[in-house]
Amino acid sequence: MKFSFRVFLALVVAFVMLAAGCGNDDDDTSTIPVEATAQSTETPQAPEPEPEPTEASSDESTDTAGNEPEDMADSETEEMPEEPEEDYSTFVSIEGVDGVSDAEIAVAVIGTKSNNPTGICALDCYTTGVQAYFDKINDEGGIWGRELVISDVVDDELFNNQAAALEVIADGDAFAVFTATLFASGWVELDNAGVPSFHWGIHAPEADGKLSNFSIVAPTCAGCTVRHIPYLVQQGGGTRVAALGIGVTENSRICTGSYRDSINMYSEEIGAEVAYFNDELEFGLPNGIGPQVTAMIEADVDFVVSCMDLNSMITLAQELQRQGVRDSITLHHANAYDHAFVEESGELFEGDYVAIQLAPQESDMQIVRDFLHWTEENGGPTSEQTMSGWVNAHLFVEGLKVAGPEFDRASYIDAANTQLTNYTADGMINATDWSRQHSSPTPDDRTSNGHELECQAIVQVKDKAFEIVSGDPTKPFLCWDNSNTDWAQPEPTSFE
Amino acid sequence: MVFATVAEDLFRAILQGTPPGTVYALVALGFVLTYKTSGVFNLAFGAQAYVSAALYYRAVNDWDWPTVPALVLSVFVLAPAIGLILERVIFRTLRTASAVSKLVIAIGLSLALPAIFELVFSFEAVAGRAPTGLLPNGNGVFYDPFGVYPFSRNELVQMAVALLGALVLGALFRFTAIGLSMRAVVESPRMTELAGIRADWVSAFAWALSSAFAGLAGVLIAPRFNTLLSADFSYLVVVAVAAAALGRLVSLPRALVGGLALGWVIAVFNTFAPRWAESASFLEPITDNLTLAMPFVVLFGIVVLWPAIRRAREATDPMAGVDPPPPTPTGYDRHRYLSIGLRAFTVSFLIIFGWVVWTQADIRWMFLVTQAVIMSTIYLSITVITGFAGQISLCQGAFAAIGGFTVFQMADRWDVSPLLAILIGAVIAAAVGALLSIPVLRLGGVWLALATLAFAYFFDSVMVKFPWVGGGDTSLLQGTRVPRPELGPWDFNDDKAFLVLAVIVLVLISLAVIQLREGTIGRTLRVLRSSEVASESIGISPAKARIAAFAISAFIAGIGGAMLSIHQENVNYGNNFAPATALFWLVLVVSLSARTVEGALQAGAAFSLFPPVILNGTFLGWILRSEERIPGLFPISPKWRFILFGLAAVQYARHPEGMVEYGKNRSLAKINARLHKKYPQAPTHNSRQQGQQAEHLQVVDAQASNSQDNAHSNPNAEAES
Amino acid sequence: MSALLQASGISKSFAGIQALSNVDIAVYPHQRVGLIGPNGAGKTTFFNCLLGVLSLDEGQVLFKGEELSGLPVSQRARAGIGRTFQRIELFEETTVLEHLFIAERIRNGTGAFWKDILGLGRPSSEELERCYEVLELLGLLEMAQAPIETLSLGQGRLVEVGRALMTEPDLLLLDEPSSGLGSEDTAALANTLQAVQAEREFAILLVEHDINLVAEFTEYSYVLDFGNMIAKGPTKEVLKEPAVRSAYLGTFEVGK
Repeated sequence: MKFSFRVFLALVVAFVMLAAGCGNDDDDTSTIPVEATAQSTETPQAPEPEPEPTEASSDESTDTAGNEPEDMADSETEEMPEEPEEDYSTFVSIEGVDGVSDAEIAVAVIGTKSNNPTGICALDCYTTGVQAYFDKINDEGGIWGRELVISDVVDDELFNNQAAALEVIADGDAFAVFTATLFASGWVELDNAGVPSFHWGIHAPEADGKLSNFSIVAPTCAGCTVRHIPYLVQQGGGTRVAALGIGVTENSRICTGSYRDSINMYSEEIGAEVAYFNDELEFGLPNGIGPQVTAMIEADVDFVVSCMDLNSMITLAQELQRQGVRDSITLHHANAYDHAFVEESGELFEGDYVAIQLAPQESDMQIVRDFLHWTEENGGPTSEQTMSGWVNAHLFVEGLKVAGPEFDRASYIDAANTQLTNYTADGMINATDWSRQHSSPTPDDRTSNGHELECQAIVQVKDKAFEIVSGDPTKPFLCWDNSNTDWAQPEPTSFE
Repeated sequence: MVFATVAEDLFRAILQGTPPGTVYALVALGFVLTYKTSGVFNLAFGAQAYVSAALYYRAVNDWDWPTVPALVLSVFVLAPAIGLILERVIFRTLRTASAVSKLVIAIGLSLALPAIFELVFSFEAVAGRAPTGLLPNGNGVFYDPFGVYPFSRNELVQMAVALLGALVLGALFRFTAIGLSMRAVVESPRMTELAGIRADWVSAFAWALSSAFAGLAGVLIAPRFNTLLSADFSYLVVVAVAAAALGRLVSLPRALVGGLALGWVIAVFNTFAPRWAESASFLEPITDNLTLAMPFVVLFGIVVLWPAIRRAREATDPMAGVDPPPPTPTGYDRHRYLSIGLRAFTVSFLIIFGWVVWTQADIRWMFLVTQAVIMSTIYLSITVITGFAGQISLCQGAFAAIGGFTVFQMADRWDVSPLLAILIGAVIAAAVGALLSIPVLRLGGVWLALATLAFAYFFDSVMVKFPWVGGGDTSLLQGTRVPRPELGPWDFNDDKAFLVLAVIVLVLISLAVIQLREGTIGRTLRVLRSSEVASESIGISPAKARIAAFAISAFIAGIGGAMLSIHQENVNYGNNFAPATALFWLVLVVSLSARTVEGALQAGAAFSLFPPVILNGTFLGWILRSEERIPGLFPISPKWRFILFGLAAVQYARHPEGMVEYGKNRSLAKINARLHKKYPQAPTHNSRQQGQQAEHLQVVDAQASNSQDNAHSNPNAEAES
Repeated sequence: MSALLQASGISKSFAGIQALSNVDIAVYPHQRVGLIGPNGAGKTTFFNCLLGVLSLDEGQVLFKGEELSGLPVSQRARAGIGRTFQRIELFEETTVLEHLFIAERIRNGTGAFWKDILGLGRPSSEELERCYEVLELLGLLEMAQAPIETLSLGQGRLVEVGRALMTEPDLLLLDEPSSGLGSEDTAALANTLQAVQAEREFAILLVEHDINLVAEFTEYSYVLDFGNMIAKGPTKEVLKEPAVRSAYLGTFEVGK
């Protein structure tokens, strides 16, 4: 009986397809089924109880009710309560704008799902966040007489972000694009095509200078000194500090250098100094981190500030444990806000500080409660990536609000950049002025493109959970005046 | 725990280097084991290790199996099963193929195996969820035998297995009959059969054994990673090859020592180098980067400097001549009319396709087609170095990146027009290629491939960071942006204009490559590949020819890389030019056809257009006239791309002339024969030609029809060695 | 007249085995010299040392008065030494004509990268003429377009010779050319070689096992055994020497 390679091949293919087909029913990411939430603008509910962004808001909401001719008889809400500027339900028919139909405003989500080398849930979690916020808005009546939908979810498979962006642009079904990708090669295309783009803020170089491009936090200053790091050291009682970073990415090296410079700058005020510095660690730490930890011990290090990924921090913490100093050295993490991990292995990071870009979920804020509620309705998880999606969606909607009931892409971008000058995502982020924060501040010029307040949200790991360091769950941000670099104790702040 | 003396520091450093060293040793041991027992340079070892580790993880964490059954399943059931399948289906029939063919297959498998596993088991890695080892709390409990540096349970198990493995396997080869048989079968299966040994069974056992070891290594090593990813295992393999090379790939004890030594050297270096840098700051750039580069520097050094490797010649099977020679691959018995017909068909297809793209394509398809054109340009560099010169170069990505980075730097620092910068970048790439080729001139097949791989990783870990390569003032703020050029009335910001530019570049380079093939250089490379001694005897200098080939190939790659960066308006190094990507390119081009320009074009199309057109169902949608009607099966998971890729790699070894040529010859054989009969070729000096051609064709047909499973290549005739 | 090739004091050892000890061999212009000896005597090693494939432990090789050591193999070839191979080394996937052409192109050195690119690398008619001349000499004119894989062994050996001839050697080294050939083919080969040599006037150094061929074809012979020169002189006389006969265990007959 002759062995036939061809038959064997056919069997293999059939088997794999079968197995894949059985296992992957829920992995189909071609389109997210759009739940027709059947919320029309006729709902008698009051217009959404959106809280005003901040007290010091210089927002001018465009006035809506009653100024535009209505084409649909049933679009006007009966109740005209409170402030007219809170009514975003006016409907104006718009022609010729991609993604905008009479019933919907559609967006596309592009992200990395396949070939993801980091193990982080990117596209799926981010999309959940966006959808969660859309559900909230739709539940409250939608905006400008339309529902928000995700028309397309595209997996860029790590390498094809540019092609994916072009596909979305060419299809013309989306008004705006949300991205959660690891290689942001497509943003140049989105910018060239004038498509409003939203993303989770890890690609400052690709975002720089692009007025159509909005991240959850404005591009940060690479190389600037910061005050939250020395503050943390002081809080943690550290006197001899190590700064660690990964060598292969310039960002990590610059970050590590800036942390060292920050501690040196305020060394007297906090009573601490840099005792060990290494910004050339190997990515993934394939050779462990033994010699480096030994050197840190010899230098009497008691606090470590870091610009490394979660995997590297785990390795570091385990090595500290191994060499018997886990309890005598406190760690600062830049990327460890992962509830699931901390629940499982939290002892490893007990007492450490974790910095996050957004207000933590432990905050006492309406927007956070909404986030938790609507995300769980969508099946969760409530990870940092989901929060990014939520915040991006929030910004998108705010932009729609200021763009008025009649808009196109260009007017949207223009409105967002001129009017969202004090945007805080209802308290989830540091107040951002999008009229001047599309480029990174530099150490020489911290203010032209920078925040008014230098803020950071920080939590501490306690008993396998996170605790807000500021002590006040309603004011999770620790802020300094960004017009100077004087040392001061931070001000717990809320942007709600 | 602070010690004063250097000796104690050294001792501690050695202890600290032992766990990573043990990991390298395990992988090196497994690697050597596979090579010894199958002659295959198994770069897919990491993939095999990963698959077992992943199954063990799934069994223990998701199915809640206890350790022992999970271990048995993943190491003693799955792993040998994979090995047996690989042996039976792929490697048994390719025993006499060149080591280079097997290398190509291994690369394909290294991508296909994890993809198949992940598809079948719906397996996704999750950051921070560490795999567990064999012992409970393996990463958390420590023992400190010397009172200097503690080892975790997992690490102790790794060390024990590595040591035991080296001893047991070494003894197996030295002292047992089966060990001897395995080594004999690798050298000459037919001779062992004549001695009464069933070569097939021995070979199967060998693969089962080495695969089981791979699986065991995977399960043991996995806890070191905090996230289970196949890429990490493959990286380990590349590093461990340096250790295995110390024993010329055949000595198990040396592989063990080599792996440990690698770990020790790195740890010692990490301990003492900062101290040296303190006293001599000029050392800093070196000490900063050396750890990252060390495995690749070591690998390159060993391969280039170790005299035993330079002189090594692969063992040739004395009985290889028994097998019939392969059919003549190229179609030069193709009838003239057929050649003309094919050419006409190709040209008209391209014209129609071009017209469709020009008039119908939206920006996305314009992008993809332009990318296909540029990738074809890059792939022509592989045609030159691998197709013509027969050398396996795994660093074409680095050459292409040099082109891209040059354009970026020139535009960023000195406002040089990208068009001019393309040429400058290509020249720089050519210079680097020529320089690189000098130390590796005498190396053959697999060792040359290794040296180029080492360079590719070195470029990736170390050189990309330099400010004059990938860095600089603006790169931090803006990344590596590249502008589109303008030339007189033509603004290449317009995608259509740029597509025309890309096509022009491709056409020019294709023509140049064709001319090269027919000219002195092409012929020189061809005969050099065929018989180096004979070439030398007529005055060809292999050194000069190879340097030229490398330089030309790097030049072309540099042009392609520059074009790609300009097209994307960014170098996008990690996206476009990483070492693993270059491996992918090589296998893709080689499986389709490395010898012909057409192969490069098809590879470019396959790379850019196959996934969106076929895998996403677009083609089907176009046929069915509606996107809605595409069956729910689509989009087929992108992992399929890797599976198909693996299959393509396997096909390569059966048909070294490439699938393109093979397919053409097969499907056109009947037509060809009929044309010859009906329109006999005009007589030349050689009146016997027709008769011989007819005979030859019969031989081709006969062999083609029964060669499905029995394709052997005569190692003498194998051109790629 | 001075020697074309003067190899003196050649010694070479491998891992303790002395392959060649103090071997002196001279070849004069237009001479036909044989190098014989039992298996393992060091004949092919000598060739390889001559050509630079192996490095000498001791000794000196002068070719046309110039020192050869230090020159790489390809340079020695260009200096005027051609060779054939014991295990035939033909270029695959080429025709007979292409075999000769590439040798001719290398010899005349007119190939260049820029010429290739511009399409000027194709064979010129003069080059082809020269190839056809040699093919005619060898009686292979009919086979010019034949793929090399379709040739018989005898024809293949002739092609090897032809390829070597294209480099216009002053000395042709033949390494067991009759190996694998029957007596008819061997005789044909010998005749052809004689005719060609008469025409082209080069010297020949022939390593052979076939004593008849050596006896008929060569004028002068050297005999090696275990790396030592045990006899040298006019071929017919050398073949009668007792030492030589005993080295071969007396398995041949001179003359017939």
